[in-house]
Amino acid sequence: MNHRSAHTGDLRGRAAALAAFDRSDDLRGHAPVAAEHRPAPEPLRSGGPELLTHLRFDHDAFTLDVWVRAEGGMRSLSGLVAEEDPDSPRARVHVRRPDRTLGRRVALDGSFGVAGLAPGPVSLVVEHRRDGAVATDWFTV
Amino acid sequence: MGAVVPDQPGEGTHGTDESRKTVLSTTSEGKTPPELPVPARSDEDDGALVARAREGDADAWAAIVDRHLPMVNAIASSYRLGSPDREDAVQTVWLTLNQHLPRLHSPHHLRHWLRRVTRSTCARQRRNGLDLHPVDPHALAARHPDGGSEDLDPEALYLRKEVHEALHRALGTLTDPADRRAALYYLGQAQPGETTPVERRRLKRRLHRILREDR
Repeated sequence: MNHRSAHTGDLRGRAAALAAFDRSDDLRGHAPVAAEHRPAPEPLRSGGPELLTHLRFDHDAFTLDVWVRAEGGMRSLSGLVAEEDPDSPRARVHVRRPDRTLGRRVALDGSFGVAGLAPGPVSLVVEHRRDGAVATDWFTV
Repeated sequence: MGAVVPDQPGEGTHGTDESRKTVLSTTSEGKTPPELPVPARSDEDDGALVARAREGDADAWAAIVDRHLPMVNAIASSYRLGSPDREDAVQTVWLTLNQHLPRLHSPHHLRHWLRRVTRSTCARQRRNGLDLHPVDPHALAARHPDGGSEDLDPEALYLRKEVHEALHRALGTLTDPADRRAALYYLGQAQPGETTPVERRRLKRRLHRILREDR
């Protein structure tokens, strides 16, 4: 395939694409999406957030379940880290956006949550004191 | 990320105003940011560029972006997403490529990989959008409180069924078949043979007589 044509096409989003370059993930483990479940919409029983999707990420040492909810124009994430070895729980989760990172402590039961996120790409980095960090695939909320 | 966006797990950004739109996806529709330089052409093939980018060469990454961004944008545009959704999807594609760069099995097939990832990302973005429908607030105010029409309300359906059964129990107590036919006519459940004009007039007279007698 000839890729050597002039760059005359649509280059919208070039700044964001260039800014995505970051080699720090190369040193981290990787937890790909193992399953995604999108519940059928149901009548609202209250004014609470609406569940958009449930994602599961798998890694050798743990399974991470993430529920994405919509409330107004914002999104919230709640997650649960299920350890293979329950004696060494994960310490923190970092919610990565393209322009910032939010850190959250993982509770003893493995749960964590973040609210008030603007729609856009998200990736989670699950950190452990001993084993280092594992990053999930990027997904949009 | 990289030199532009702090992506390390530094905790200095806690509590920042998250309602701000993603900074990197706010390029104006149909406009190339004026500060961006004109992309340079690269004669290297994708395999060589990926190998250099894996080593941390930002120029190689820029060459990959400039070569394939028009294709990614074209695919994303074909999904007819709204502008913010399309920008988010395209940005997610490049973030995904950055993450998967060390694990690409066939870097010389990068174009196919990008095409597949762009399609799946845009399809997921479109499904996300389908769940969220903008609604006119005036329409919401006029809507039935249970979110559906009254006909579909389970409680209304149950009450209607109860009334129907009670009426038919009452009809069963009528001993005169003519009275029963008149009552069925009144309820709109007359037999097909009893809907001729002459029969309808006869049933109406019968109904009036029953009502007079009940008074």
